[in-house]
Amino acid sequence: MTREMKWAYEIIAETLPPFKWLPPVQNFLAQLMLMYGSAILLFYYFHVPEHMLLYAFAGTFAVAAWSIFLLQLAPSIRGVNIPLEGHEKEFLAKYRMLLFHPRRYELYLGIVFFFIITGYLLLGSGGLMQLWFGPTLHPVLLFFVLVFTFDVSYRVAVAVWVSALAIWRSLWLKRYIERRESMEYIPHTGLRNLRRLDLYSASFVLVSIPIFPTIWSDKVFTAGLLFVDLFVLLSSIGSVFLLRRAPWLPPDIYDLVYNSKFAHVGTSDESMTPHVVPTSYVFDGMDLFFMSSVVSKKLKNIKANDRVAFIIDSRDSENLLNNKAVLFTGRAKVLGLFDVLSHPLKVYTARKLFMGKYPEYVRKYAAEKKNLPKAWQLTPMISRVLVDVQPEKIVYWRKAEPMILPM
Amino acid sequence: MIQMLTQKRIGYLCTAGYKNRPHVTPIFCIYDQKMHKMYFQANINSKKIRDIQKNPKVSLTVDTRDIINPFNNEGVMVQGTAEIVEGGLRKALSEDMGIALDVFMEKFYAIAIKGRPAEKVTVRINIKKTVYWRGPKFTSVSCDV
Repeated sequence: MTREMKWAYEIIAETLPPFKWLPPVQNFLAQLMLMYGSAILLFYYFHVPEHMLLYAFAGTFAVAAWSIFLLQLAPSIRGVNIPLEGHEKEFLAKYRMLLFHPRRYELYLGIVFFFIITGYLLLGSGGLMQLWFGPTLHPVLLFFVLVFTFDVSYRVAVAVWVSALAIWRSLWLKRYIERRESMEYIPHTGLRNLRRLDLYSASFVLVSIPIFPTIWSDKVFTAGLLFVDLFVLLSSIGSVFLLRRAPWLPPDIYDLVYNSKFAHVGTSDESMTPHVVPTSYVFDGMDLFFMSSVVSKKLKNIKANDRVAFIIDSRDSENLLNNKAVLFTGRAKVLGLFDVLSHPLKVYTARKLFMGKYPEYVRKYAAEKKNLPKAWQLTPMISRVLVDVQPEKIVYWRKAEPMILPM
Repeated sequence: MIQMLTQKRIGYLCTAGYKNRPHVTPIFCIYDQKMHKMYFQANINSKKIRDIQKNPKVSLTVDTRDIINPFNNEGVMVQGTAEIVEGGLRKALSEDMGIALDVFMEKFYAIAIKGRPAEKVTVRINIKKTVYWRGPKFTSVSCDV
């Protein structure tokens, strides 16, 4: 059974001319023109107040944009390819199955939203219908409103469904990944693609912004949409955050990187003269950080050529076969004041990791600060700066066998 | 400083070949005090040898580090040019360097190339500049031999 699982809306969009022939941008414009065009005609015919034209534009714009959002998101989620094994593979298949379930859970959720919204609009509303259409409402207009409400409900339901499942998926995927042993690892690109999709889902929130003026006078609706937006935003960002923290490197490398105290950092200046020195460092799971004096040669080299090589190794003098080393090559970035402001969490985490990893160093520096040359005084930003190494390739040697992990 | 160079066997070699991208590997090295040269051996197909063939400039560091007190950290970094020498390590070294070292190097090398057929080359580093540090104090020595 290889029937492709799809959302109800995707099947409609694929069968309905002219939309099935159109590329995304034209499709968006065609949907907008069709919906907004019919709104203009109806409003003109039934003498609906003019300000409604503006509201209707915001609403139809959002619905058309969400349609394209769904049509782009669905194949991307289905197409994400992460080479996983065993439980992890089963789990990802289960996630996709649930997301695009043949029973169309997203459609049911949309219907529930539809009944809640129409129920409130027609029965319990705080006068929103009167504000929109005046005291009397023609059945044709009512029908138009109901169709439009359903469109909105379905799209909101998909966004809620996608983001709720995203955070659930990331939570479990992270747990499974944490159970991996020694040399098993996940290619970084796989997780990065998932993170990108989660960020893309969060863009649902942006599209919802034009709707706010339309429902602003009704507190319940405004609060409802805000709540949905907040839910989608928090679960998508939460999911990205969880995936970022998932240990994608082989546990063996983590052991080496976390247990070693020192690394050797290699740089090269514009005259191609290499330079290698030992350094203390910390690792936040993604990037490596080291501290450097502002007058050091390595900092001058990095400013001329940001390529660096960063090696961490452990040696066993009894048995050379137990030697292990990991080499990170990539780009180094000196974190200046601007970066501290734009990535406060990253800088804060790195500094905290330094405090935790080298408490004796920090104490010694602090105690003897007065007697040290200026370059060694631990004054952040002035004499010592934090350097962020973003790896692009990782090579790991164990038992003299190299293993290459591309980023 | 000389003591660091003669006693330490493991050094970190930095090369920069393709597109001036640095590459660092731990190596087993020997310092020939009489000639003020550094030697190491490597597989001819290794990244470091390929880098050296593109750009002979190298940097090598040997050091000791104290986890508790940074003021006890000590090390030497040399910068210079690398060249592949013919006739193996024993021939290249000054006569009074122990033959035992050569034997040890053989053993070390056998492990480093384990399972992969490779051609061994001996590399000499002509030292141009030496930097020595102990705690926060740095001494830099340049020499043109």
